[in-house]
Amino acid sequence: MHYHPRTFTKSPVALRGAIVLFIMLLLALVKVTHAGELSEQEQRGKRLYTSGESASGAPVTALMSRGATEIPASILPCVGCHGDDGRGRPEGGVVPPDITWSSLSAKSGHEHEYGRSHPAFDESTLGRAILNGIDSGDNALDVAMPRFQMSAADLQDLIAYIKRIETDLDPGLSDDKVRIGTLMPRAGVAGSQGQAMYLVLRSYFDDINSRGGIHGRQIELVPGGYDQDPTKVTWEARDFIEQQAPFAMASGYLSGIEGPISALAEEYRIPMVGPYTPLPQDGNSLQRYTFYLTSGLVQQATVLAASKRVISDDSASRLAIVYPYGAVYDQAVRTILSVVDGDGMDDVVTLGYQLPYFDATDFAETLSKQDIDRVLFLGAVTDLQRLAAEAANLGWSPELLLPGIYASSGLFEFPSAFEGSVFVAYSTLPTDHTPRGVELFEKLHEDHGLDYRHSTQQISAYVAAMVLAEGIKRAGRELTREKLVLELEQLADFQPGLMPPISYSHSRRIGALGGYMLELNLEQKSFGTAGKWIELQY
Amino acid sequence: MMRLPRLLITLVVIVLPALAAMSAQAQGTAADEEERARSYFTNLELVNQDGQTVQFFDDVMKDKVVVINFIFTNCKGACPLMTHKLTLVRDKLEAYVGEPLQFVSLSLDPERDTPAAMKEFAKTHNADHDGWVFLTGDADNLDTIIKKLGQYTDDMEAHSTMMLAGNVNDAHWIKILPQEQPPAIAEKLRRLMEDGETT
Repeated sequence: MHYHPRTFTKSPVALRGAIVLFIMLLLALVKVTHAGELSEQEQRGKRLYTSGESASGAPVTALMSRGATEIPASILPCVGCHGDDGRGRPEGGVVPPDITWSSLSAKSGHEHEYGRSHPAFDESTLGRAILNGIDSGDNALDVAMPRFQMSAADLQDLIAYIKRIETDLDPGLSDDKVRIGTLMPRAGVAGSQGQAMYLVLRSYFDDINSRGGIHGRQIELVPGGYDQDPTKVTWEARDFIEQQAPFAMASGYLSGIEGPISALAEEYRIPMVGPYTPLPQDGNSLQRYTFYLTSGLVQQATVLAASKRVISDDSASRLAIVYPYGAVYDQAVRTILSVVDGDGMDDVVTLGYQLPYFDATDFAETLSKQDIDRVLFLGAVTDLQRLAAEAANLGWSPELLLPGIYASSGLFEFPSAFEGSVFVAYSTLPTDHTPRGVELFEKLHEDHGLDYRHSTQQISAYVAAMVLAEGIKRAGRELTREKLVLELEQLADFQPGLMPPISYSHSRRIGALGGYMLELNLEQKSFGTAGKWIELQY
Repeated sequence: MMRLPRLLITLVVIVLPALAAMSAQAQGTAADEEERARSYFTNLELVNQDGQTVQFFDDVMKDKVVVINFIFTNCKGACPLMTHKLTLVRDKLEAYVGEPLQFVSLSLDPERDTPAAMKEFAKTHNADHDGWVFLTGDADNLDTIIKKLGQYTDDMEAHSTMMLAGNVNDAHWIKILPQEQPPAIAEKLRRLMEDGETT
């Protein structure tokens, strides 16, 4: 066959243009690979940095206390004080400085504690600092910094990694995979709910993977099981994070262990999206990494407490909050009070009782004598129904307010005197299900052979996966945990099709913040007025 | 000639029971001593680096010469250095490791120090073997035990790097300062171990 050299007879300008374009493309590629995979030298350097060991097996030792003690470097690897990201964590009064390259080589140099100032580092002065403990201004480093001894080749490898450390990928992330963890109980009813949630997650991510993943990365889902011994759960979760190193966590059954697990998310800086819990740990401004989907007990109770009395519009309504003793409920009551206080309401009365014994007669007498006309009840619906029966005996008919979390079968078994007076708040309703949302959910079940047991938990897991995937997609190819958090914070009115719209912000971590208040139609055993969404702001 | 044997017999008859009585009394004292030690150190349950539950006195302390140090696995300076120093001590006393010498590293941070984390720490130091236990577990239990050992402080960062060593049966305890060198420490431990033999 004839080869036509016609392409090379193009005008010189166009040719130059083509070459420039080609070089730019090449550079773009290089940039992408640079932020991604480590070169072999950098990998060797990373091994030195994280474990103090040389791939060649050559000895690496550390001299401490100005040379008095020599130890293997594996006992004091760089990562211990300088961190995975080179930015350092304080310990025992010592604050290791930022040793990322952009910091070390900053043109302005640095001024550290005790007047130690130095110009910018270069590779040679960095090597000298590691070996001899002096900075680029010839000052001695803090005595806590060991002087290391290693071969010249090892030192070059280590420096190569230090120059790269700030662009090294987050844990659980590689060029073609992103590892997502999920925590579920192993046994019991919660265990089978957890299992149903896991299958939904796996199916959802399998579908994404079969379509090519997100920005070229497949999602690798790793489940973490825990036994429900409370003393061990945090350990198991911690071990899971240490050993599996997930990039982020999706869903997860956290009922009863929200506090410790979200504390772990903060500690390890792992974004955790959509954990299933009736107690989202919101209102704590220190908490950044956990994103909840729907409102929980406290929000439902607040929606009820803050709503105006329906029966009459006497604005001086007297509210009583009845709750079981216990740290969780004490906190819930405090939060509710802080929201409703001074809201055109007389003093709110709070009355606690010791689980499991609720003295309905006593409470009915006490509350009726105090002219209470609304009772917010944080407890089992059967106990509230006993209170209602006693109230009916006394001819006292307050409004009864119940968070939807306590709703169970027999919900409508209130004395008929209370028709029109019982209200329940829910975080999500079937009216949140759009036709398209339902269609996709059903298709997932058909395609993967799933059943519909524990559908509430399944929906929670499904939406969690959806929100996480959306966040990862928006973060783009240059994915980091921080970027994921920032992108999630940008979500506004995101429609999952099976839950209310999800919105986050830099200070908001409950996606659907508020609740639907529904009146119970006792005779028809159905819900009266269509649920109106009441948005909370705090 | 006949008197000597009779004298001997008399002596034997008198002295042996006396000796027996003395050693019975000594044994009685030893049992008391053990009970006192057990109730002082407690049999509170802790968890070792293999995730096994152990009773502090009966499984860790009894009949041993212990060397106790205090660590937390997120400690990046003092704890690795102290543990490393103890491995050098251990190397000098290899024959005694496990019997009667027992190294005990107690966690000051049981919430974060999972058994797996303790095992990882132990492995880094080549200290994961019989005769060296790394203990974590219920925070209240550890608090109680650490207080009993006189090393309690609210501030984990300011924790004492002091180490303790003791011959449990003899109730003979010494402190080991963080700056003491391995040969000196090994010598102190040898003397503690010898104590047992003179009883």
